[in-house]
Amino acid sequence: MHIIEAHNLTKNFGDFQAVKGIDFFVERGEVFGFLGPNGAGKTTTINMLTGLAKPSGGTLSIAGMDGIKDIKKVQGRIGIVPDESNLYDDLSGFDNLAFCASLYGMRKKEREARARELLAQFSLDDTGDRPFKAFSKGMKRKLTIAAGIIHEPEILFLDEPTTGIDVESARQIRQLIASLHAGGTTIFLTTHYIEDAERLCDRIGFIVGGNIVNVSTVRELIREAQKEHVMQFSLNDAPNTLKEDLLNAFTDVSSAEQADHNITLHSKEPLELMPFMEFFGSRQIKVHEARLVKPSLEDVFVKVTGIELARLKKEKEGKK
Amino acid sequence: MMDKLLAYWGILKKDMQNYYLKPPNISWGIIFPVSWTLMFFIRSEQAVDIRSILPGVMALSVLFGTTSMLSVTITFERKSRSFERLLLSPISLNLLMLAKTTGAIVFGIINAFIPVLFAAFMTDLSGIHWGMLSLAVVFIAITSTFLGLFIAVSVNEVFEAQTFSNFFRFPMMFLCGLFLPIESLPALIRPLSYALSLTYGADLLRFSITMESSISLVVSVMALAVFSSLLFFLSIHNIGKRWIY
Repeated sequence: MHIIEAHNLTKNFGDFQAVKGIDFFVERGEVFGFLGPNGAGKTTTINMLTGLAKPSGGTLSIAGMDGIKDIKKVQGRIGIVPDESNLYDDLSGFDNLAFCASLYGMRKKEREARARELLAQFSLDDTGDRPFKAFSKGMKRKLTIAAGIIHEPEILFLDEPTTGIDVESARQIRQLIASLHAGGTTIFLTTHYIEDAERLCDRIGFIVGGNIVNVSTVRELIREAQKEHVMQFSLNDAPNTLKEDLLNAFTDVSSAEQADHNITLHSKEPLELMPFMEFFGSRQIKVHEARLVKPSLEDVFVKVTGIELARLKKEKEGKK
Repeated sequence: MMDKLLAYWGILKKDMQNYYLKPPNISWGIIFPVSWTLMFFIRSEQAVDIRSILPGVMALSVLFGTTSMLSVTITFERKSRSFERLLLSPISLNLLMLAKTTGAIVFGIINAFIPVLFAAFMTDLSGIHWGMLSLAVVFIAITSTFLGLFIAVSVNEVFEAQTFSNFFRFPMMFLCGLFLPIESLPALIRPLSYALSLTYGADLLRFSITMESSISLVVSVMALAVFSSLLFFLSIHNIGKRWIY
């Protein structure tokens, strides 16, 4: 069942079309990754989904409601965690959470109990009356996420949840995303940490230049990106003629690269390990390690968007 | 309905806690009217008629207090993106802005009564029409707050909010008839006076304290109601246009 469904969703800023009639859906209970380079239309799309921007065209259904006309009702069912911590500097963690709960009409007892529960869940229960401005970056991030789920939303929009925070906090946040997912919350995640997307997302949509260019499961995206099969061997010895001998012996192998005692083979067809083991054995060459090289989601990202991930990370972290 | 009331109260309480009840703001409410009273005293070089300057000091305390607070706090929240949190909550824009402005209105009303409190120790305040005075104070607080809101919605930076506020406040001070009677202003400038909400609020205030007025009370009340609605809905329209783009 689709909890979010967008058809021909468009956003124009004067003559500039930031989002060009995109179609996509998000299944109830899935973690949907929304990836794309800076300026691709990611933030504009999220703003349209959450009610910070009005679509110029198209239709939007969220949690069974009209995501454009009934946006205020929709906002009661979604949680939003922006890429920057935007709580109140002078309020304590508890007061910030209790205030956010009041925005959703939660009664005093209920909001105070929920605030305490979340502070404990995020290991922030010892922060006492410390104001938010005195929190570390990781603590601020955790409290911002806690504020996003204070009303137990059906859908959680998470924008760059692990950017610029310490390893331990990032690990806790990943665990929390996994546990929310296990509890049935639908998560709409944007991140430039491809490893997070690969680990956490069920499906991923790529947006480039205001168009959705690909939406699929992580496994399917990787499979699509695998244009060739690559096998790498680490050997105890590699004579100079080894590369030529391999190319002559295995006609399926289209090319090979040799560097010191390592050799990498490329083929259009899937490669079987045993014939190679026998080949090396017959030449008294020991194989220390053999592995199939599979493309990562990072390779998919680079292929789809045409930009190097390192550049994207640098741009994003430069903005923080 | 109860949910909406809880959200309204939550925003109001947070603003009180976060901004209005902070020591610098409380001291502002005391220092400002005292400074104005002293200024008039020095200027007059004689015993100042507290009762005659009271409407002016009250009106300016409200005007400066509310416009400064609201335009700065909203611009500040916009900059830190915490205002986004409010826009993304399931409450209507009208209710949200009413909640945001209520704190400033209450702050303005309290500011207005501080000079009255000081005056009570220095002069006889009998004969004041307290009902009319309260109505005038409430209206001045509402219109000044909504003016602050209008300013906040029109700028991006805190310093712009301050500059833009002064662009309105200082001409208002001299054109509203509090210190210079409107009749004594050049004919060319006079229409400007009648285009200012403070003119009507100040006239009501003066009437409640000195029983003198230059504008019909009914006209003043109606003009203030129109200014309040106009500034509020203009601001809401601008928020919808500029912040929910």
